[in-house]
Amino acid sequence: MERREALKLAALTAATAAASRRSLAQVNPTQTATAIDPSVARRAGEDVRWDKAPCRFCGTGCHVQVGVRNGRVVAVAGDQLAAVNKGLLCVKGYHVGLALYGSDRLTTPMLKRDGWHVPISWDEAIRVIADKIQANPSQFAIYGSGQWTIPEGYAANKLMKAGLSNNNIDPNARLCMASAVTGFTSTYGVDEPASCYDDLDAADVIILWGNNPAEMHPVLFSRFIDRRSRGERVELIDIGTRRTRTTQFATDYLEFEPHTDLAIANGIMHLLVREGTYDRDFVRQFCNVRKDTAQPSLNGEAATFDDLRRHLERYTPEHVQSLSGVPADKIRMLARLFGDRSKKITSLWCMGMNQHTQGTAINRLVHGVHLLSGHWGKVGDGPQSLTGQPSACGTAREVGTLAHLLPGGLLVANPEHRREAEELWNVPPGRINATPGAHTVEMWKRFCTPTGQPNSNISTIWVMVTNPGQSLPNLDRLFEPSRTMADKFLIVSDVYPTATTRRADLILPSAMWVEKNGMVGNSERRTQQWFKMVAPPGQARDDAWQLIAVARELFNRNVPGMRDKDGKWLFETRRPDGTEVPIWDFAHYYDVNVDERLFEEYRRFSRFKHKDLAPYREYVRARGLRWPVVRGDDGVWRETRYRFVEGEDRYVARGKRIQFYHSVTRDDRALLWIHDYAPPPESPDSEYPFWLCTGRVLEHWHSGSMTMRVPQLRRAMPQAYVEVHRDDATRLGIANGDLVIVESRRGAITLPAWIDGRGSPPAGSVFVPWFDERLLINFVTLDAHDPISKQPDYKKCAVRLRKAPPGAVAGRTPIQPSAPAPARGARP
Amino acid sequence: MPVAGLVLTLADDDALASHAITALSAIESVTLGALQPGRKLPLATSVETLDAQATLWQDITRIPGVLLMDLVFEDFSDVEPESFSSDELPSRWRNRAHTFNSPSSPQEP
Repeated sequence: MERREALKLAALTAATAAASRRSLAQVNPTQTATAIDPSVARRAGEDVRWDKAPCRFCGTGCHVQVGVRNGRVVAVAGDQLAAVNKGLLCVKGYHVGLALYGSDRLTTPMLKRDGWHVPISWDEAIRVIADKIQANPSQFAIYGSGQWTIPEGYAANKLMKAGLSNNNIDPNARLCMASAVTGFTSTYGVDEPASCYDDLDAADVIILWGNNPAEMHPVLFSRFIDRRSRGERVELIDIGTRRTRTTQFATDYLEFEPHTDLAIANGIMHLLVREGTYDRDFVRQFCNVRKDTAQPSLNGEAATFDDLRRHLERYTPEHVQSLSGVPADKIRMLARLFGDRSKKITSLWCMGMNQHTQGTAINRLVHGVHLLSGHWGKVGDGPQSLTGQPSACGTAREVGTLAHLLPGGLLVANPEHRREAEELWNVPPGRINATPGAHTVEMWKRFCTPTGQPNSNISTIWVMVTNPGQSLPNLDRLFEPSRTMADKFLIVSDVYPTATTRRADLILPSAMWVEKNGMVGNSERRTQQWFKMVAPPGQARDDAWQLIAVARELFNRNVPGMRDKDGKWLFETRRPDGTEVPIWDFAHYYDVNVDERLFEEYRRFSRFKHKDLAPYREYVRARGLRWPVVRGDDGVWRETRYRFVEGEDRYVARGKRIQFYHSVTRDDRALLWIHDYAPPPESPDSEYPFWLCTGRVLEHWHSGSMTMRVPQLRRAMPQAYVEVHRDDATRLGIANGDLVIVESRRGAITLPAWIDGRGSPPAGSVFVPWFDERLLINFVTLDAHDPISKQPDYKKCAVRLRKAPPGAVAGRTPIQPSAPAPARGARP
Repeated sequence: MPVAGLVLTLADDDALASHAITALSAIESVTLGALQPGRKLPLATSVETLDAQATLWQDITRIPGVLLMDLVFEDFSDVEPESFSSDELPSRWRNRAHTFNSPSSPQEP
C-alpha cells in the first residue's frame, strides 16, 4: 500500500509539473530542467533505471523516459527535456512499454514445412535466405519500413545496392508519404519540410488538409489547441471529407467531395491572382512557374505566370463549389486569409493528400498556395507535412531505402550520384545498378505473377518491420496470389504474428524498440537516438544483425558483391587495435556499437543535399537534432529550424533572404506548379453508390500488430467497424451494431455498423479503419496510384452496402457481382 | 495495479469546468491536483486492473467540460501480460455474438 501511495504521489507530481509547464507555455525546456522530476523518479522506486527513447509509434517523435527494473520495462514518463512533446504523450505512447510484453511474441525462427511453421535455428534461417539470394540475386527484393531504424535501413540499402547491385528495395513508406516526397522534391528540388513544429506555437491559422491530428498526432494537436486555453486566438480550419474528433475543435469545417482538394487549392489561387492579393515580390524573387509534360515527371517543363493565370481562370469560387461541394463563400474566406500577410498560416497534411492518385499534384498545389501568397519561411507561416511512422523521414527518405534512391537524397539513375556513392562505399565503378528498382505496388505485382509470365521477375521478398498482408491495397491482387505459388518465397521479420507472418515461408523473430539500439528521424527533420535497455525475448534479434548475418553468409560463399574494392567484407568492423569484431555472430554483436559504426558511415552521404548530420555522440546527448546540423566555428553542432531562410539556415547566402539552393531550375527558385483537378479513377455510381475512405483510429497504430496487444488499447477499440451516416443507415434498415457487408468490385467484408460514432461521414460515404487483421478492409480497396509517387489511394473507392443476412459472421465475404444496388439519392 | 498521472484541459466555460471538477472529485480512484492556469487539471488514477483503468479513462474523457486528456506518467510494474485469442469477442459487440471468418477464406454470408 505504501508503494502504491508513493506511486500516486509520483503520478500527481509529474502531472502537476506538466500542467504547470503547459500553463506557462514553456516551448523549450529550461536549462535547469531534468528529463524526469527527481521526486517522481524516487517515488517510482530507487531500483528503477530511467533512460530516454523516442516513442515507437507515429512520426511525431515524442521522447519517453523509460523506467527499467530487473530487465523489464515497468514505467514510462514524459521526457521533460523533449522539445517535441514537453513531457506529454498520447494514449498510445504511454502504452508503448506494454507493447513489448504481449504473450505471443515471436521468439524463434520458423520455416514452413508441409504447411506448418516449424522452429529452426538462426544458422539454418540465415542459410535459407542466402540460398534464395544466391539462386537468383536479381529476383530477390526487400520490402522494408518507415519503422526500420536508420542503421537498419542503411544496412539493408547497402546490402542491396552496394552488394547485390539490386535496387528492388522499397519501404512501406511508399504507401504513406511518397507523394509528399515528390511534392517537396519537385517544388524545392530536395525532399522534406523546410519548416518545423515551432510553427504550431506561432501560427494564427492552422489549415488541416484532409488531416485528423486529434487522433493521429494527438501531442501536436494538443500543442496548438493548448494555446487557446492560454487566451491566444488560433483559428483551425478543417478541410475534410468526414467530421472527426479534430472537427470538434475547428473554427471552420469545409467538407469536400473526395478528391476535389485540387479544385479547392486552384480556387484559392484563382482569387489570389484575380484580386491581386498574391505576393508579387515573393513570386518575382523566389518562384518559377512549371507545368507537367505529357508524361508526368518530377521536373515538368517551364511555363509562365500568364500560363498560370490563364489556367486558374476557370477555377472561380462557383466552379470550385460545383466540383467540391465547398460553398463559394468559404473559398473566398480561404483566399482572404492567404491574401492577408499579417496572419501567419500553417498548413498541415498527412495521408489525406498523400494517398491520392493526384497526390503529387495536390502536394505541389498546397506548396503553391503558400508560395503564391508569400506565406512561407516565417515562424508559423508555411506548409508542413506530417508522417505516420517513426522514421519514414529518417530511414525511408534520408537513408534512401526507396527503390530509386541512394543515401542522402542521391538517385540511382544519376551517373554522378552513383559515382559518389560507389566512392563512399568503396565498391568498384558500375557496382550500383542504374535502373530504379520496383516500387511497392510493382514489387508485389511481380511477386504475385506466376513465374514465366511477363513481369514475374521477383521470386523472393524479405519483409522487415511491416505487415503487407494487411496493409497493401487490393490484397487479392497484390498479396494473396503469391501465397498459392510454390516458387514465390516470403520471408518476414517481425515481433508478433501478423496477417503476413501467418502466410510466410520463413519467419524471423525480431527485437523491438528498447530491446536494441536505434536511431530514427521524425517529421520535422529531427534525428533521434536511444540505447538498448532490455533483452529481447527468446531468440529474437536485431533486424540490422539479421541483414549483416546474411551479408556475412554470402561473403563466406564468395558472392562477389559482398566485397569492396579492396576485397574487404562490406560490413567489416574492427576494434581500435585492428582486430575484427565478428558482428555476424550475435554473441558479439554488442561488443561494439554497430549502430554508431553504420551511422557514422551513413552520415558522410548527408552533405550532398545539405542534410548534414552530426556525429553519433551528439545525438546521445540530445533529444534529437533537426538537420542540417552544422558545426560552428566554436565547435558546437547546431540544428536548423527553417531551411532556405537567411539567419536560420547556414547554407543560405548572406543577403538572399530566401534561397532554394537545390532548386530544380538551378536558379534558387521554388516552383509554382500548374495542375488541373481530374476525376478519380473510381467514383460512386448506380451500382456502387458509396465512397469508401479508410484510415486509422486514436487507439491503434497502423495494422494494430503492437497496439492490439496492449489490453487498454484493445479494450478501448476492440475491432474494426464501418461508420455509416444515419440517413443511409435508416434507408438501408441498418441499426448500430448490425453486421453490414461493404463491397467493392474487388472484394467484400462484413463488419458492424457504427452510426453517429466517433467520426461522422456525410451521406453517401462510409469509413472503415484498417487496424483489425480479422476484418481486412484492404480486400476492398483500390490499388490505383499516383503516376509520379506511385503511392496508392486508400482514401476513396466506390462500394455498396447491404445489411448482412441473419446468421452472417464478421469477416471476409464473397462478392456478389449481380447483387442489386441499394436505392439511394442521386449523386453528382 | 496501474497508476497513472494525467493532465486534463477543461472547457473555457466556467460552469462546464466546474461541473467537470465536481464530477472528477466524486470518483474514488481519482486524486485531483491543483487547477493550473489555462484550465489545466493534473490528476492521478489508481485502479486495480488495466480493464478498470481503460474504462475510467474513457469515462473521464466523456465528462462534459473535459476537452483533452494527456498522459504524463504510468507505472505498470505489477501488471502481468495478458493474452488474447485471435477470435476473442470484442466487448462492444459481445451481445450480438459475432464471430469472425478467416481473412483469407471468404465465407458465405
